[in-house]
Amino acid sequence: MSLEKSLAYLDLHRVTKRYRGVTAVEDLSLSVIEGEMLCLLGPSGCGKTTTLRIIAGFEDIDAGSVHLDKRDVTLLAPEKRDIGLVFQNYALFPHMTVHENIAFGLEMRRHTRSSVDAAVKEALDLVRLADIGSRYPRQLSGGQQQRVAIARAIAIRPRLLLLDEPLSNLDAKLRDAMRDEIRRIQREVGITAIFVTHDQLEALAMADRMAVMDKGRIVQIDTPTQVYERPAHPFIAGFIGQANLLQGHVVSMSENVVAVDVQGCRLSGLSDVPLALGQPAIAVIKTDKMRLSRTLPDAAIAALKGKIESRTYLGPSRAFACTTAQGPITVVMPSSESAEFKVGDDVFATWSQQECLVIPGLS
Amino acid sequence: MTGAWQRLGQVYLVAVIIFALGPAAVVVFDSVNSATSFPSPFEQFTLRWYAAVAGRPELFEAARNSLVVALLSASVASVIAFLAAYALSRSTFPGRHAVATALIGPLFIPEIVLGLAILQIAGAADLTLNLATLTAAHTLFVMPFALRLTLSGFSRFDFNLEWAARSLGASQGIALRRVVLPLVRPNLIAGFTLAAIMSFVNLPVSMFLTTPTTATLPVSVFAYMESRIDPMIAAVASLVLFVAVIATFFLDRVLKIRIIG
Repeated sequence: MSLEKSLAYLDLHRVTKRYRGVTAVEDLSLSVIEGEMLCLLGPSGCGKTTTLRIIAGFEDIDAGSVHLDKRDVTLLAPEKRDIGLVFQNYALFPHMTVHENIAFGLEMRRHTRSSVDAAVKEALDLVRLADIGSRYPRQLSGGQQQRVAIARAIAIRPRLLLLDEPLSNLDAKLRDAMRDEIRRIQREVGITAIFVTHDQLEALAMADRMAVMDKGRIVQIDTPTQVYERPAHPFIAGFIGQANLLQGHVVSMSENVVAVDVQGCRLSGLSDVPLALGQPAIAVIKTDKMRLSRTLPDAAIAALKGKIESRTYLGPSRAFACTTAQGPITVVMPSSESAEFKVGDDVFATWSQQECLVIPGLS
Repeated sequence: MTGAWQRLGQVYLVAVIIFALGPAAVVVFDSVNSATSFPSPFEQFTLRWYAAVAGRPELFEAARNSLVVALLSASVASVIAFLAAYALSRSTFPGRHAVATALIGPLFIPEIVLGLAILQIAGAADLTLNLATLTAAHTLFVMPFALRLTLSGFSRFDFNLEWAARSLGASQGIALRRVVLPLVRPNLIAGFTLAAIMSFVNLPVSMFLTTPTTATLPVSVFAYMESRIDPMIAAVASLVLFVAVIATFFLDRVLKIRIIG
């Protein structure tokens, strides 16, 4: 198969970007399927925004290539890439009205006056903002500015839509509504989209697939369910959801059940990746999959002995921070089941074996 | 208590305004005073000093030279300042602060030193002293003023706006013209105006670089005052003042360009 045929809709191949010796993106490869919504998730400084800017053409890269829709765009100027971008701060032109903002990209494409007007109206209808064309960005609320920014990016009918932290500047209530709104617009237009976020809930809720980034690399790329349920890397296990990470080494294996020795305690769990005897490994148990118990349950259930250090009421649930010989852990239990447990109590933290995931550890 | 402080503040404000505008008022006062020595107590209202100005075509010639040099040098300086401020604000190369300091630096060189230096260079390079060389020298010396004001326009500029324009299909040149330029225009105009004024009123640099045919207004006034001092000079100064006030009013009210406030 030729290279062109094997290319995905958007294809980053071994891309490296350095800023004066500091590597922002390292040997990164990424394939995006046409029509999907992909999320780049990671903590600040992980290279996700740099990756977005590379795709948009704002950054020259030191190595690698970028293909979009079977075209090598590695050296193509941003204005020739046909990529719509929604900036974190929206970057609406303050000296232009909403209509002029949205029309800008169409004028650059030398559309006629009447087709520009029709396209602007269509874009405003799409984001459900009619009748504000004559206003200036400063006269709009944050949510409206966000919609105008999306309308402006989509009006040019780009090959790809990029969104940089699209919800970070909105208040909590608006955020949920806008999250659904962005998905609706993306599906309605049928556009391939990539958005960047540091918010795991945003990523889990919006993405078809998510790429988790750390230190300029993609550490896992999969569906939100898979990434959440089956984190492939200690970084993701710690970053996605709230999980207890217990570091030890592999002492036995059968099928996909692996036993890990953690400070003299043998914990069994499931593993998707091949592991070797004696290899450092981490037992990952989500905090809300653990329960507290006063007595040691039967042998079939895994347990750690510990003492409650603190108790935090979270409304529907309580979080207990416990110390154990295997290290500190957090247990989140429904409020209705946890009222009896107090700070200073000696308890057992329990979980069922299939809730424990074993992943390769850091040596 | 508050009322007393407020009253004191008002008195202070009036005092500052008198201090700032007083000299200009004195000049206007002298220009319509019939007394022949200058300055002297008011005798009688007269316009004869203005009539005397009309009889001196070399002053109009000098004013024209000043205006041409001021507008040309401020224009060139503003273009350089815009491009330099854009580059300095946008890029993050190490040493950009040093470059900015070097470009603003001439602001701190005494104008008389600058004038002498340029004269020496012009002499060494065998350049003819004409309006072109004078304009070049003025451009050099007014550019830091224009740059200083233009840089402040870029200080909080969001360069994502330029990237937004690029991603929408604008080349760098079009993004500059349609998005960057309109947003820093107020600062550019303020920089241009300050540069033009600095050039128009300049004596030390011009003094070294003008010939009798290319004399600027400050040079001519200075030369005239070396031979004698009479109220006609006050009339010349007042005329310049009136033109400046009218120009400012025109910019502010008709072109809606804010220079003051």
